[in-house]
Amino acid sequence: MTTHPPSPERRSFLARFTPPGLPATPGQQLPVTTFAAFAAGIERTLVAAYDSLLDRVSEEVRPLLETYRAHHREHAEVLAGLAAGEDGVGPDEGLVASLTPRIDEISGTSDALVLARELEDRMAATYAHALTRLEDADAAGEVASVLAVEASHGASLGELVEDALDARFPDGAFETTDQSRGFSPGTGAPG
Amino acid sequence: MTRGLGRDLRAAQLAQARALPRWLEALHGAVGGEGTGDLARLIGVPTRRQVLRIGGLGIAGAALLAACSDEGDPEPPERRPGTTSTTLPDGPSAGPDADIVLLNTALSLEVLAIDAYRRAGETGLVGSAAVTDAFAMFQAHHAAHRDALIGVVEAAGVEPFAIPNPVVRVAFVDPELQAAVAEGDLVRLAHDIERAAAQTYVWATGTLSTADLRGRAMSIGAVEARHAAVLDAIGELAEESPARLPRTNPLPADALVEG
Repeated sequence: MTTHPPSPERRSFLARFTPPGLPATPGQQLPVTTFAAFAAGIERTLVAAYDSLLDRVSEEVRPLLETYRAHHREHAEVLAGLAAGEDGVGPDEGLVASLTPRIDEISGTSDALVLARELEDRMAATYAHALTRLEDADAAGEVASVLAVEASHGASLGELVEDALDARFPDGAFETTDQSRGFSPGTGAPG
Repeated sequence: MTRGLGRDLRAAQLAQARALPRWLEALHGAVGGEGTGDLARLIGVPTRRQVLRIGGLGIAGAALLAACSDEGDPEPPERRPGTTSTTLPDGPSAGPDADIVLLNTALSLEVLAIDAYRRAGETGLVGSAAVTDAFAMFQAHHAAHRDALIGVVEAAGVEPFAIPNPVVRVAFVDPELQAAVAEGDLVRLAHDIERAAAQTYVWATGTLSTADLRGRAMSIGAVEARHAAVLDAIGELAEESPARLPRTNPLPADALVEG
């Protein structure tokens, strides 16, 4: 249901940042525990990323990022609960390895917010794709409650970095469900 | 909100409304006229602004609810026999019948949002470029959502309910538009509609019967959450920022629509 392709700048970021994930498997069911374990690992990586970003931003925006970090911590707990019995719900090592040099290069608040916004949009795409394949409606409801908040994070951060209005809606009227736009197993998570 | 409680609330919502056909016939007859007061009495709406329950409170929270009571709103009228809305079968994945209820309800909210943005523009209160641009874009997004939902409902062989949700319109949107005196009032109204719509999709996602429908629903719902976030920033609303959008139905049972 995607209506607009990503901007050239966004394509560039995605090309740099897309991990060597699994091929898209439209229509194939996704077991809840497998996805939840994977997503919990990504969420915990985002918590760690925000830990690092908080050292690099102004006092003015720090409370907002602290709030978002707390949200991701809660999301990780919810997903870890859904992943009961699955191993490997720590931070995603592959994603950590990808993010570390980018965070090291950040020199100020604006760069930090841009990276945070990119991570939020990518996580939103991850959830939106998963919802097209998750086999359990109740688990899907939990994922949806998280997706809505992370999408709003992306839009709010876009406001802070003074994105153009349409850039706060990377795919126009519909959140992308394209797996390649999200994180995917292959970044170190179980899969 | 625990998952167990969420299920209980959903079950309560699902068990509330039968007899929709008569209700819908009555609404179809009333909608489009000017008699919104009559319609409110017909459907037995709660006091204004209590219509949408975001996170368990009225649409704009306890403060607004208190303000409503200060305004001397009348007690809700007795509900007439046979004027309740539809029901969804029990269970988190209730099947095709529930899917149609959810999709047609979502469709009615999309059309409501389109209509609200149009009418907001006609108030003459919108002046800033930021609000003008946002309202125009969001209205276009809702039109795309409407068209997508119409396609899904028609594919199921059911007539799309492509009119503004009558219950939410009468009990919330109409009075808020009439009371608006500044651009900020319209931004808050738009925010509250978007937030309630996003929560409706979250709720529906826990009930829709197929992954395809759940994915489609949240590809819309996530964008409506983005709308709310942008409006929160533009309007400096400083709304509460929960870690998760509640999974409860923010609409009154009367607002559920059957195809």
